[in-house]
Amino acid sequence: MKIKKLLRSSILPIYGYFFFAFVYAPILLIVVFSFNSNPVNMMIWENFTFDWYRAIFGLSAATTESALYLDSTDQLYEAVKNSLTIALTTTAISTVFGTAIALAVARFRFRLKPFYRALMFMPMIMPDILLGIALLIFFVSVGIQLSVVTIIIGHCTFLISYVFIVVSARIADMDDALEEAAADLGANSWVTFRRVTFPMILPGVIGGALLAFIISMDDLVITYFIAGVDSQTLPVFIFGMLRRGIKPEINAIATIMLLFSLIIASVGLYLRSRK
Amino acid sequence: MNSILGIKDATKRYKTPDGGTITALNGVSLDVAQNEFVTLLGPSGCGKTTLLRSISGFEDLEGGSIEIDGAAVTHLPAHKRPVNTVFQRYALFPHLTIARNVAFSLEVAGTDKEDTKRRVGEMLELVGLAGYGDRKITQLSGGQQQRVALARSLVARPKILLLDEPLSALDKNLRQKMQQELKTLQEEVGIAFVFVTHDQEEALTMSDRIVVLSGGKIQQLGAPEDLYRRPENEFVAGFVGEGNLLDAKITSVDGTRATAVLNSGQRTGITHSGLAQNQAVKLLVRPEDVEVGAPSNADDLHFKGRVSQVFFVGTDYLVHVTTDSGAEFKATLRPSAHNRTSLASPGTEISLTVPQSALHVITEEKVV
Repeated sequence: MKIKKLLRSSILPIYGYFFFAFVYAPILLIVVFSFNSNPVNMMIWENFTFDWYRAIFGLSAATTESALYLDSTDQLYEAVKNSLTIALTTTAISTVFGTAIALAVARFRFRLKPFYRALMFMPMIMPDILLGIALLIFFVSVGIQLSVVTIIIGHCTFLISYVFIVVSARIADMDDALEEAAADLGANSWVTFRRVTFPMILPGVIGGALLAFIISMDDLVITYFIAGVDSQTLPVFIFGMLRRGIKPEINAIATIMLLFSLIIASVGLYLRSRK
Repeated sequence: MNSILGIKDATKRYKTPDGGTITALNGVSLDVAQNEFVTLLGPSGCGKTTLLRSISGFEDLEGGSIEIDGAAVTHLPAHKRPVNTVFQRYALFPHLTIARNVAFSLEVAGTDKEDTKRRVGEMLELVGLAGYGDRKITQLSGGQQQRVALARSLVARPKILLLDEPLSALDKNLRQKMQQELKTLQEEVGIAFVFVTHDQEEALTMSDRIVVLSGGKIQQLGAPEDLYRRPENEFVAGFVGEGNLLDAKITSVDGTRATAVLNSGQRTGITHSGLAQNQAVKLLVRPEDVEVGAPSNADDLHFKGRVSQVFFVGTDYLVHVTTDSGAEFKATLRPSAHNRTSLASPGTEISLTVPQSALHVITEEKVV
C-alpha cells in the first residue's frame, strides 16, 4: 500500500516530468539558441539577438562576422517556395484520391476488398529509403527528368494512403443509417453525399489533408532521392547546410518551421474539437 | 376499404457467409388501408425488418410486387418513394440543427424557404418541440430525439410512415407514453403507419391490425384481440401473451362439436370445424381465465396441483402450478380488495378450474 502511494505521489509525476523534458528540451534549446548572439559556440549565451532571423531573410546582420552559410537568401526562398508548391499540390491530390478510395472501400462491395485495404496500408509501413530508391529507379528508367513534378508524384504515392487511413477511421465512426435516412427523405446519392456524407467526414478529410501537408513539408529521405538539382525542398536545403557544420541560422529556420507546424496542428485540433 | 399499400407475394432470400441461404420473406402478401396502424410483429430474424425495408426501398425484392397508392414501386429507389421512415436509432443528422433536420426532405425537394419554415414550425409544434429549432441534436434527450425523427419523417406528408422499432431505445415509462402519443399522432395526421416491433405488448396497445411473422411467412393477420383470443396456430398463441397449451386428442366428432380427451384423462367438449377423429390438438387457456376452486359446472376442466412459483406483477399474481399429472400451468390470480394477502405461496396445494368456454382449439403448429 505504502509503495503504491509513494509511487503515485512522487515517482510517477517525476517520471512524467522527465518524459516531457526528454521530448521537449531539445526543441526548446533550439528556440533559445536561435536568439543567442554568440556566433562561435551557441552553447554559451552571449546576448539576445534577432540577427539570425535577419540573416535568413537577407537583411544585413550588423553584429557578426559569421560567414553566412546561405550563399544567398534566394536559395533559401527557392527551397521554401518549392516545398510549399509541392506540399500544397500533393495535399490537394492526395486528399481527393485518399478520400475517394476510403469512401469506395467503405461503401461498395467488391471482390478482394481486404486485399485492397491492405494495399492502401502498405506505403505507410514501407521504409522511406526503399520507396525513395524505387521511385528514383522508376523515374530514371522511364526517362522522366527529376524535378518538382517527380517530387509531387513521389509524395502522392504514400500520402494518399495517409489520407485514406484518416478518412477511413472517420467513415467507420459514421452511422450507416444516416445515409439511408437521407435517401429515405428524398435525397439521391449525390445530394446525400453533399448534404450528409461529406459534412460528416469533413473533419477527417481536413485532418488527413493537414497530415499530408505536414509530412510533405517535412519529408527528407524520399525527396532526397527524387529531387532534381534545381528542385531542392526546405528539408533537403537544411540537410545540405548541416553538412557544412551547424550554424546559428539553422536554429532560426528550425524555430520558424516549428512555429509553422504548431499553427497547422492547432488548426487541426481546433477543427477536430468542433466535430 | 381504400388500400394505400399493397404487397403481393413478396419474396427475399439472403446468402449467408457460409454459403447457405436464409429466406427472409416467403410469399408475404399484405394490404394496408388509408389510415390504418399496422404492426409487423415477430422475433428477431422473422423477416419484419426486411419487409419494412422493402417498402422503404432499401431492400430489393426477389419476387412479388409492392404498390403504394396504386402505383407500382417494386423497383423504385428509396429516394423516389412517397414513404418516410423513423429509424431504430433515429439516424438524425448530427451536423444539422433540429430545424434543419426536420427541413431536410423539403430542402432536398426544393420547397421555397417561407413554406419550408412554416411547415417545419408546424411539425415541431405538433410533436411538442416548438422553440427547439435552433438546438443541436446532441442537446436532446432520447425521447426528444424520437420526436424530431417523427417530425422529420412526417413533414413531407408521406403516404405511409414506416417505423423501425423506434421505441426500443427508450426506458419503459417513456416507451408507454410514446406509444400513446404515437397512436394519437397517427390519428391526427391520418396516414397509414407501418410499425415494426418484437414487443407484443407494444403491438397489442397501438395497432389496428397486427401481422405476426415468423420464418418469412405471415403466421396470422388480424386485430389485436383476434390474435390474443383466437390465435390460429401454436406460434401465435405462444408469441402473443402468456398461455397454457394443453395436449388433447379428439375422440369423437359431431359436426362442429367434438369431444377431446386430455393427457390427464379428463374429457371436454369443444367447438371447432374441420376436426377429425384421433387428431391431436392443443387447447389454449389464457392464465387470466383460470379460476381457483372446484368447478361449478361439470363440463369445466379441473386440475389439482402444487404451487411452484409466485410472481407479483403489479395488479396480479402470476402463479406457476405443477399439476398432479406433472404438467406446468400458469394462472393469473387477482387479490380482492378485502384480502390483500398473497393468494398462494410456493408449496401450497391448489385447485384450479378452467371454464369450458375459455378453451381455444389450435390444430396447427405454425405456417411454414
